[in-house]
Amino acid sequence: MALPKRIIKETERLMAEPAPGIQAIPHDDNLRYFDVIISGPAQSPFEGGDFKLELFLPEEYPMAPPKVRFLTKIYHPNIDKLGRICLDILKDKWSPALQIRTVLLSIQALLSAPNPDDPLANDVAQHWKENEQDAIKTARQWTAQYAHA
Amino acid sequence: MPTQTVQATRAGVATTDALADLSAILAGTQLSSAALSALLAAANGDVETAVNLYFENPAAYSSPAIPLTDAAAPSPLLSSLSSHSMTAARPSFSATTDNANGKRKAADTVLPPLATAKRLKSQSSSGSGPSWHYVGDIVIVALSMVRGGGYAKDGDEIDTVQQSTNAAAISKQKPKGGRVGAKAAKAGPITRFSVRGKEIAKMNRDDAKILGKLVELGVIAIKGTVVSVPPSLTMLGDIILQLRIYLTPAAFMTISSSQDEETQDQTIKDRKLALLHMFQLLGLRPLDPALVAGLKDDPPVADVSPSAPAKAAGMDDEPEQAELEDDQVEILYEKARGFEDVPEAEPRAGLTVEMRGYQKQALAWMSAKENQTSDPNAHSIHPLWEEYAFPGCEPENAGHFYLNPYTGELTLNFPSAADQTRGGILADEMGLGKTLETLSLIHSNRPTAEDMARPSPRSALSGLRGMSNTSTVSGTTVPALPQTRATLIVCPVSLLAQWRDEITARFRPGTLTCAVYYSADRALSVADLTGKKGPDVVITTYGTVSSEWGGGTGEGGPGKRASLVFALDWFRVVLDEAHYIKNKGTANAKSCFTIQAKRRWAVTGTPIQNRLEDLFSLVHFLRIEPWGNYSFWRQFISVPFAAKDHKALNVVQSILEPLVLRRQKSTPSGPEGRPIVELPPKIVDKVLLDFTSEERDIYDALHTRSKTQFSNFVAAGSVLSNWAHVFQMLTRLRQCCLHPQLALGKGSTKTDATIGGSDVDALIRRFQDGVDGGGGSPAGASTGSGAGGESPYIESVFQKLNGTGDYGADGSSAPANGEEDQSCALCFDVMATPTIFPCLHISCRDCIVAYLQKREDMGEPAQCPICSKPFPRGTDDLYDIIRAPQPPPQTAPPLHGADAADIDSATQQQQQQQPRRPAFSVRRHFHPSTKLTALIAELTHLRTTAPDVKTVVFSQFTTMLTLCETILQEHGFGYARLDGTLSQREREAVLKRFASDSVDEASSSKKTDTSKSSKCTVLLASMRAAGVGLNLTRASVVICLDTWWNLPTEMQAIDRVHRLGQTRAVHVKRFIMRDSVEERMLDIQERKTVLCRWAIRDGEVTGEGGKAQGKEEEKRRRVEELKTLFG
Repeated sequence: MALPKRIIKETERLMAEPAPGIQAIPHDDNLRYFDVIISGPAQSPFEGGDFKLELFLPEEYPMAPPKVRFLTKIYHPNIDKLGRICLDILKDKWSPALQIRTVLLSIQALLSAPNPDDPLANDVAQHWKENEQDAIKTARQWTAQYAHA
Repeated sequence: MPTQTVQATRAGVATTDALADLSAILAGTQLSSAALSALLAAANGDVETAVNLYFENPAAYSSPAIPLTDAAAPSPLLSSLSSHSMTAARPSFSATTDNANGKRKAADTVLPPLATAKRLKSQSSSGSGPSWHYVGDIVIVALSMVRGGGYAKDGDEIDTVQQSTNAAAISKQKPKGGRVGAKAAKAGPITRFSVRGKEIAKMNRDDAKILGKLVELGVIAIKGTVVSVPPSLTMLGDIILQLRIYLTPAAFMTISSSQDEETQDQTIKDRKLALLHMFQLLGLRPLDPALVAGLKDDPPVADVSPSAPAKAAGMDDEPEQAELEDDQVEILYEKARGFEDVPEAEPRAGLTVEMRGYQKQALAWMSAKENQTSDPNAHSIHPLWEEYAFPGCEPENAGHFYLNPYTGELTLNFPSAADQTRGGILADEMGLGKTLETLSLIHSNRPTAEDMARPSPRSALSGLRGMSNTSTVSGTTVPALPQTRATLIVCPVSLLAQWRDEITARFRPGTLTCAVYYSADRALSVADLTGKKGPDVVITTYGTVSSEWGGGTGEGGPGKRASLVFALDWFRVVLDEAHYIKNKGTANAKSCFTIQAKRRWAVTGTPIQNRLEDLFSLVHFLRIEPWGNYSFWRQFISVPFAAKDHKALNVVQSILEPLVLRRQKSTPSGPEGRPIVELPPKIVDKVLLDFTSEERDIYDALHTRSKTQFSNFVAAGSVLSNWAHVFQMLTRLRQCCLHPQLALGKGSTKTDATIGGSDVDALIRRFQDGVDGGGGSPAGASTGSGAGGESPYIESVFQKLNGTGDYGADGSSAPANGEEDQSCALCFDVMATPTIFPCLHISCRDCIVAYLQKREDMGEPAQCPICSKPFPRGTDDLYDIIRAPQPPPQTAPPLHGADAADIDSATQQQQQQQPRRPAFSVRRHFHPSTKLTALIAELTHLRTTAPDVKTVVFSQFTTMLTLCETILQEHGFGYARLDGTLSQREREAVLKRFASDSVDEASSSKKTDTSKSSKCTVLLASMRAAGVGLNLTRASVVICLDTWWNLPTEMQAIDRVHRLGQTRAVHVKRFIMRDSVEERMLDIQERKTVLCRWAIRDGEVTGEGGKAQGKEEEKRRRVEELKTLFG
């Protein structure tokens, strides 16, 4: 099936004008499947890490949100062990006006501002709430351990 | 032998006595008076011998030279005479002696000689007023009411006493008298006779019906003499009386109109019958019997006899108004056709066009109809009246009087045939130029001084009431109306302008002046029209006429004097589309009947639509005698026709023959026998279209539902009782073929616009604010109106939409914001159908609809995908952005119909004043249907290949026309719209606009309206509004978006284009959806079955059983047709 023009355009723009700290490259054999690398934002526990994600545009895209998952292990209250992300725009707040770029920027922002009040990984969230410094420390350790490819 | 005595007294001369005696005895032998004289002479004056002589050799005395044309019924007088006195009575006495010979000589011979009359007259002159008119004697046998002798002797003068006065005096007779008196109300009055104040006798019932009735009505007065009275009277014994009959002055007056119509009708009838019968008794013969075309064998006298009560009673029943078969209608016109031998007449100078040959023939014919009897010296009697000589020779009796045997009217004034209104029915087929023919008549046949010297005959009939030409009876009592030289033209509102324009266009300025008298334009006064400078033609409408006519009070009422139409005696009145008065009971008809004019014309292409009664109204309007009299019409046409007597059609034929000019386009003329009008060809194509799959789904769903419902009705046998419902289902299916939106009920943008009107207006305003501001600050101007922080976005929207005005397929010329702003926010593609949301975000229509659909599927409310602002009405909150069309540069924005409901009209009209034209407008979402797409394809094709061709688009549904408007605007077509909602002015404007830029026609008419310069190439017309009279020949392409139940209606609409004046071949395209109710309608049309004919034709069935059977048959067929339609 022919790729919708929107996906082609988005891809072109992502390649031509990549957002700072974000890299998304489609697979040659499946242009709906992107290898994504997000750099950990400065002043965040994830600074210095390059996080791999996978992004898949489903058939209904853009009516349905893209499916995004961290491949790199990350210690974050809104991201679980399997890399699933708790982000509203990836679920009910999705709008076809959003794009791959905006989604990835949102994820990047999420790294800057974890939200333990709306957790996905309960233990991490608990840790974050009880002892934020310790949690951040763990996050840094994980970043160093897993995100330095 | 009493009879002998009677006759002797009556005649007074011995030989006459014997002759009369003999004729009485030999009544029925058809002997002329000459033969009787011969017989008597042969018998030396002895009656008995003469009788014997006759019966020995009847042939010798028969006189075959005098034809017997009449077989009148036995007269009651003679019956009564013979029944008691002559066993060998020959009841047809009168037939033998009087009626056998229609010439006055016969009357002279048999009637009492003048000398006798003179004697009688002088005897009674003291008792009769100077204005009483002696008309003759009657000998009757009265019944004695007393017993014994001495009451009277032969030769006593007797007086008549109306029954009621002295009834009490005869105590013994009281019960009987009471009984008869009770009957009198119905059977007629009882008249008694008195001698020296003592009542001694009464009339027998038959005489009372005639003479008594007339006395009661005040028509006659009776004086009398006792001829023979037995010495001793027995109760109910015979007394022979001789009565002298006088017509009173009242006899010559109009019958009182104070009674209600029904009573009056009955009175008129009674009076007529009694009068005619009395004349028969008196032996009065007309000098020249009334001649009525087609009725010579059937004189109305035949109905007069009381012995034919059944027939008379039959007249009272309103005849079934049987419908005519189509072929019957054509037969009716048969004799009215074929005018090859009519010469052509050159119209008076002043026309700017050359009339065609057949039009000149019409002019010649019409002029002849108007001028035929204009010779004032022609002393020919009105065909309906009969002239009688008064018997007697006193000065006051010298001369004649006149009887109308059909109405029983009497008059002393000569009813001249010249009094007949002149005119007729111009019934040329549509498109032959009836208007021009009529105008050329008005122009060429102007009133002469002589015409103006005499007022037109007034009709005293209010509405339909019987008496025709009563002016001759009572004319002196009604003041004459002021006369005008003008012709009054009455036409439907829709044709008002056409008449006026035709005058302007076809005549050189000043040659034929006209004025319109309608609604606010009613500025004309009586003085305007009676003066020298009055217009030649006054055009008005049926509505105006009937409103001036008002409540229909009798003529001359004070209210009517205020009007113009009825305050004048017009030179000529012309009813255009005269079938508007076909129903004689309507105000339209009644009011037109009342118009006074010297010449009367009915102009219509269809003088008979489907009932013979249709014609009656026209004939009545034209005051054609005798047919304009309804009872007459009913008796000789309606009743026989209802009784399947097709002689009625022959009668109608003979009425029409001199009255109607009817040619058809195909009527051959000239030596080559070519049709009189050769129109360019008309090519009708059936264009079968296929539903889109989406439409098909909707149609099928609707169809399935309707069919199920229909099947239920069929199963329950209640199809016809649910007709309204069935019809509605069919209508929805038909609408669905046009555009599913129509069938789904949320069809018209009109209603939608009112629901969300304010929002839409606000939206438009915001757009306009932006546009007006221009440059860099448009958003600032609009921030206050609710879009909040999105103003930069709005700005970009404006730039995108307005700045370049071009986001065409190449999508190249984005000025500042890059390609992104040229595209849909959702699909990133160039927007195919740009749609704007209430929050002013935009996207493709498909994208946003898909998104909203998705949200709906997930149970979430509609909202903007960009700013999440909710859409309370879902997809109804989306508006299409329409780029202004880019057609020929001089083309202004499309003009809107009078009811333009589309929301962008305000935008465009306002923006029209802006130096910079807007590149876009906004309207409610609109999705074209297959038919609309096909329409646009067709029109677009025409625009490129034949830019000068104009198109008429017909639909039954005005909602469809509204959709057409939307799509025509979108594609930049100049159009106009014609439907039933338009006022007359608007209609005129529309038609003028559509016809404008036409080189030949509208150019000559002064057209100051230059405000709309756009070229209007399409006329959207509702089939009904455009059905009558319109001339749409500027168009040469017709597109029928839908089909009607019967083809003729559709073809009639098409013929508005394909008519006289059309110079191009006319292409007709009928859009039909394949495999739909439309296709099945066509099938039925092609089987020549007319659907929806709910009026059952009573004429087709006879008797009750037959009728019921016919109805069943009709029902069954109807259900079958419906089954076909539902497929």
